[in-house]
Amino acid sequence: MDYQEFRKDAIEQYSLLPDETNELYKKYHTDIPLPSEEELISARASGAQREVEALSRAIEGKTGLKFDVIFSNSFVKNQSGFVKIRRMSELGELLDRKIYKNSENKLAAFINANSRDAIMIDIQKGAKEKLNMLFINDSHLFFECIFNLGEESKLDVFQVFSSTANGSVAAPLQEFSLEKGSHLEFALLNDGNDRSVLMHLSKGSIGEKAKLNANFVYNGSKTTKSVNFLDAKGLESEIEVTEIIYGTKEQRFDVNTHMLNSVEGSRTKLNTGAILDGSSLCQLKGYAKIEKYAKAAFSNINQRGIILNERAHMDALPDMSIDYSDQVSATHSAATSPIDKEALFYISSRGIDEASARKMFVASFISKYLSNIGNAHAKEIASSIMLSRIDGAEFGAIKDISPKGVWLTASK
Amino acid sequence: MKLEIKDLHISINEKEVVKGVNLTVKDGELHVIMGPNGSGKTTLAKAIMGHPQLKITAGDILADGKSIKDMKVDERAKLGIFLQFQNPVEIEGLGLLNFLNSARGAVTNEALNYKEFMNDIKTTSKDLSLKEEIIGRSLNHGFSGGEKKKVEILQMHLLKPKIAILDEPDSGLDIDAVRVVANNVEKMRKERKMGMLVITHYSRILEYMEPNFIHVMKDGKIVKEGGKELIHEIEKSGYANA
Repeated sequence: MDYQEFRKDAIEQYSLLPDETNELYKKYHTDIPLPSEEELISARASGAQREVEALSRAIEGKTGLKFDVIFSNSFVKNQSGFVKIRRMSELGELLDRKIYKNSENKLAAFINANSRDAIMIDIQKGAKEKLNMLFINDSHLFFECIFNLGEESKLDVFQVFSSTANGSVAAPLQEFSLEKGSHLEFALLNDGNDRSVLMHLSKGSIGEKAKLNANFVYNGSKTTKSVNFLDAKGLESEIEVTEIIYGTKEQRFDVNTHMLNSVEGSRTKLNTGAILDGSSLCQLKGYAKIEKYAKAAFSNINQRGIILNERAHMDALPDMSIDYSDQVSATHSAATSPIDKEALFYISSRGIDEASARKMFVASFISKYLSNIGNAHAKEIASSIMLSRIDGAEFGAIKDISPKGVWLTASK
Repeated sequence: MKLEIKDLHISINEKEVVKGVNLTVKDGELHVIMGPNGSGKTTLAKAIMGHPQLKITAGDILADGKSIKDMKVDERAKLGIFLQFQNPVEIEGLGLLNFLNSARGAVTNEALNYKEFMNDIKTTSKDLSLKEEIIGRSLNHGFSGGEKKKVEILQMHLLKPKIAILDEPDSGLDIDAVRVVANNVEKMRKERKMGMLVITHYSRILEYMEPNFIHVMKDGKIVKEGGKELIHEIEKSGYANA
């Protein structure tokens, strides 16, 4: 396969995603291009198995986290009883029933066509499981992760994305199917290196009285493009999404979450917090739709940004489409500001020097979003990574951090 | 510590707000500044602490004879100056316990004895009628007016300042809370021989305190000074004739 062509095709398909037709997004469009050909060199040659193994060992050793699944192009480990990793070619009809051949979803179809492997996670009715997954991008990492949660089951997932290769594209495609009364606690932490790209696409279908709590921590990678399509389609189903972004240098983030309140009593909530330093650029698109007859539906979009450098830029675009009004609550808010000077004065007045006060303020801003992560280990590691970034650490710091003893997050 | 304010003039955005204030606070003394809204009391308090947006256009602030007007905010705190804020800032996500420990470490430069530290917090919280679980919450976030004021006093206790400036410690408090706050403040002042400057609109809190000097501030200047008898005069005639 010609990887330059492969990457170009992926980018082209990404631009065809349906959100590009949103009038608000078009009006206030900020171009977030993917890196140029020169910047994105094919990294296929650097995908050495020993490098991947060494990095996974380092991360496990430092964080104390035991990964059930380690996945890269050159090395795969699966120690979980309910996870099956299959070659796409072996799945045939099974995947045909999934979303991926939906012609409206061009990138999904593209990833589907080019993925080598599918990771199938099946949680049986009533089961309660935990799953820690490490994805190491050692070249171009296209794969699918399919979560099926049976009735009244619970799954706690922590996914870490790291990379050994420059100029590589990770394009995970994730599907969440939650049956009645099930609960998925999901946390994704991207700590890819500063020349990599993450293109994350997910689709969720949340059944009756089921709950999805999804947390996305975007830290690494030069460019991050993320699209979530999440449908609260069961009676009294619930979706809560938290997105945390820490941008420095020339990082680019294009983060787009669509939520649907399809039925009565459904609840959707999107909380996004971004800290932007250097010349980083971030576009937050939060979209919620209350469908007809979704009586007593609740939806809330909240986007907040702190700008640490006048060269950094953020667009917050909350958007709602409300097609029904019977007992419906739909609210949104967005705000971007520099660090509150009164807050700095207050902290400094307690003997804390200005640099530490700034760090404390930024850490507290991030902390209120991290507190939504249900998995304690994920929260601790994400906190440590973020603190290390505030201290000036480079991307990929996860292999160097010791999360134990992080004393940051106030109780919610 | 002796705090001396000498002919202090302060401007905000080119507008002069404090117009030549003179004041000296010595160890163990309790000074009270009273005055109508907008008379420059809070500006004076913030300027002593070193608020970066306030410009000292003339005069000086001395601590034990040395000028502090060019010192940074945190340096003044380390020197032993404490400001109780009229409206403490809410910072969601910053754990109160974490903040108290960071402030304690910065000001006292002492290693943490966790058990002693926690016992101190628990005892003082009890004295102040503060719920113990408040320590697990974010700094001032969602606190009632009374809780905010009491947490300020808790901080004053932990940081052991030499001079404390209390900017309206009574505003927003019910009668019982005013008494609790005043009693605790007075206890700390007397035990530690701390100099104190209290800013208030109302005489109620002073029923539980023993001020040595009362200063009335109007239009950026101290227009009247005296002992406790001045409180009754103000109660009777208001600030209009001061």
